[in-house]
Amino acid sequence: MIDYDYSLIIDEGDEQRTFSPNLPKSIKNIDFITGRNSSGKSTLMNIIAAGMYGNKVSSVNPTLRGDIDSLLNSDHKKLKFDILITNPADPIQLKVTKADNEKKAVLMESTDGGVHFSALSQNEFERKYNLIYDIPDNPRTRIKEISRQLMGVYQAYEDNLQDFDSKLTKLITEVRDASNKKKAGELQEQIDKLTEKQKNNEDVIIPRATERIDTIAHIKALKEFVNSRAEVLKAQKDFDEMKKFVPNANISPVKQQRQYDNARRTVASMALTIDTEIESMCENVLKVAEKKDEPIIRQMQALKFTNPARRLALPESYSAVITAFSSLCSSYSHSCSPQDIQERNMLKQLLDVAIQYKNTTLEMPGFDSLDSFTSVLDEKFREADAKTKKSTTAQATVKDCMNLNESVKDLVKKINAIVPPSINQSEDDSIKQQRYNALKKNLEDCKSNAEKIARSAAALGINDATYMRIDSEYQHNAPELCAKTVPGLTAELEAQNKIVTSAKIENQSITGTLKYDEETLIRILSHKDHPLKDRLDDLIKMQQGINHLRQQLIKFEKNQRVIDDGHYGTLSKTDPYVVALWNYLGKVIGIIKHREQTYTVSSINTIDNIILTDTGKTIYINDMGTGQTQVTYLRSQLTKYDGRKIIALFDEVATMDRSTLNVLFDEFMSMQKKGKLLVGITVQPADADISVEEMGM
Amino acid sequence: MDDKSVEFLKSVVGNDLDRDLLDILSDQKLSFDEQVEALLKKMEETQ
Repeated sequence: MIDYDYSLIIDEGDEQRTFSPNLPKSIKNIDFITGRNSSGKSTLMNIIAAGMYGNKVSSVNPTLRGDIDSLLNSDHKKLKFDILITNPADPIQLKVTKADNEKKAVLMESTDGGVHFSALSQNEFERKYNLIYDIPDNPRTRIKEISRQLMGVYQAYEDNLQDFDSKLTKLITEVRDASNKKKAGELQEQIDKLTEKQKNNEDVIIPRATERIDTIAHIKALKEFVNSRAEVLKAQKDFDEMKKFVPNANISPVKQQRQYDNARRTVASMALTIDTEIESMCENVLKVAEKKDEPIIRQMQALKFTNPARRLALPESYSAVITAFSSLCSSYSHSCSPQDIQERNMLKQLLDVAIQYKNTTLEMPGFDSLDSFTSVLDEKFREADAKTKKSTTAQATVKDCMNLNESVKDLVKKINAIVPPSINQSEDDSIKQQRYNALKKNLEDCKSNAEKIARSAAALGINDATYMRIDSEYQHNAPELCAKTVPGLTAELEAQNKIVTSAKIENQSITGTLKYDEETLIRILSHKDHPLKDRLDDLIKMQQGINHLRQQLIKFEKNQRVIDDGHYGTLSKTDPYVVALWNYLGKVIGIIKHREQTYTVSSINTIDNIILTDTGKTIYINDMGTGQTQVTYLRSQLTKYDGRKIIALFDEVATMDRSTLNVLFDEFMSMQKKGKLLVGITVQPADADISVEEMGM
Repeated sequence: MDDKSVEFLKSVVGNDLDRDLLDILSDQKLSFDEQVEALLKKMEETQ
């Protein structure tokens, strides 16, 4: 029985139309529905198909698939329905429910007479049921459809063959592996090699490269550390050099002038002091100098620093003059012996003591008085002093000359450091300023870079205190790396990193391969005797057979395409494929009614449009009534039973009269009895109210 | 695959193994192992 109810609301803009069943809500499984157009004859069939994936399955006429999809998915249609189909031939039941706010229906199946239901997916449904929903329009051409449907059969076989072939290949591999001692040996050998390789990578390659990376990193950091300092020094030197030319950069002109004036005053004062000292030295030396040496002393005396210092210049040949004067004094300093000087000093001390006792009554033996003693002593001292005067004066002057040299050097330095203020900057000055700024920036950059490098180096233990010791160690331990430049070390570092990365990637890959190999080996070793070991040759033959069958199916598809196009192409009329096809079509159609007679069909030739009967009668398809050809086609859809229960819905079978339709109904009822048919509904237009004729069980 | 289509194909293929393959592969109830077993049995019978 088919128990159903539905509500369909169609929004037509100006009004909403509601449709509900206008036939009994409980009808038999085989029905013939008639009625006027738009009386709702097809609605039940549409709803049944909508509940059974009719908008998706290929066995539904494409036009009708679109109609069903529209019914389910249109925004202007609201459909809800419930259907319960029970089968009089067995306990199978199908239940479909759709709410009006859902796009999909829920299909459920019971195999125990409705006690338990479980959901049925599209795949499960198609595996167990064959939904045929068709409008057999243009019936004469539709007979040819039966032939065309073979393409679907070929495709299904090809899919099955591919799946079977893939599984068979795996099975053959398993059987081969299981009985293949050599393969097991080879696998074990490969596992050993890969394990060794992995261990070598882990224990040797990676640690060695890692250690080298560490050494290179240290040496590179060391070099960068040293280089950065050298760069700072060079930048500082360049900058200092430039500062001489542009010393007053960034100082205001007023300040520049003040600094300049102060500096000039300072050097003038220093020069005056120097001139005074020279004058004093020269006067002293003149007193002891020999006549011939006087020109040297006069030259020294003429040496004046005061005026030249005002001009920020220096006297000519001042250095040579001072040197000559100093040499002269030095030569005088050796004009007496040390004993002479000692004697003179002693006489001086005695004289001083004697003078202290002047005007006293102290008597001196051998002398008339103390005064006469003092006079003699004074005379002796004068003689000794005259003898040593030249030497002592010269010695003191030599010391003064040394001090003079230091003072002159200081003066020269100060004079050289004085630069007049730059009030009007020339083009040359502008270039100098740019150069100055660039060098200043370079110095700052170098310092910043050096600080950055120093921080990185510090992380490796390299700093001002340690770098020389570390450098010395690496020079000893890794001289070839120390000989490289920083770019060379960077390249070497990259090369070593690459070695580590490659080894790690290789080990990962080896891990995967080992896993597969070990599993395979275990499988081989644990299946020493595969149950199909002795049938390996047959399995291989089976696989060859699959390939052979595939090739034939490809050839058949080619033949079928030619025939479906309505001609023989390169095929002859007696080609085994052609002959077999006509016989196949004859078997599918089975019987036909022609001019009130029923015939058993032997073959149908869809190219020449000829039907041959078992009595030897030739019937031309074009001479057959459309009703007959229509029922012939529909019946053929039923007779191609493939084990799945059929749900047959035939719409608009307009060209068949009742006697012709009875052929179809008889087939329905026959199949229902055999448990092959679940539903068989046929709809035909009629100029009368809608009605249903129920048949079968 | 319906019986008639299978029979048609069996009538046009070249040898027994092809026919056996068509038979076995059209039976959707059989698992792969059962298909192999059935084919091997048929091959044994043919030999």
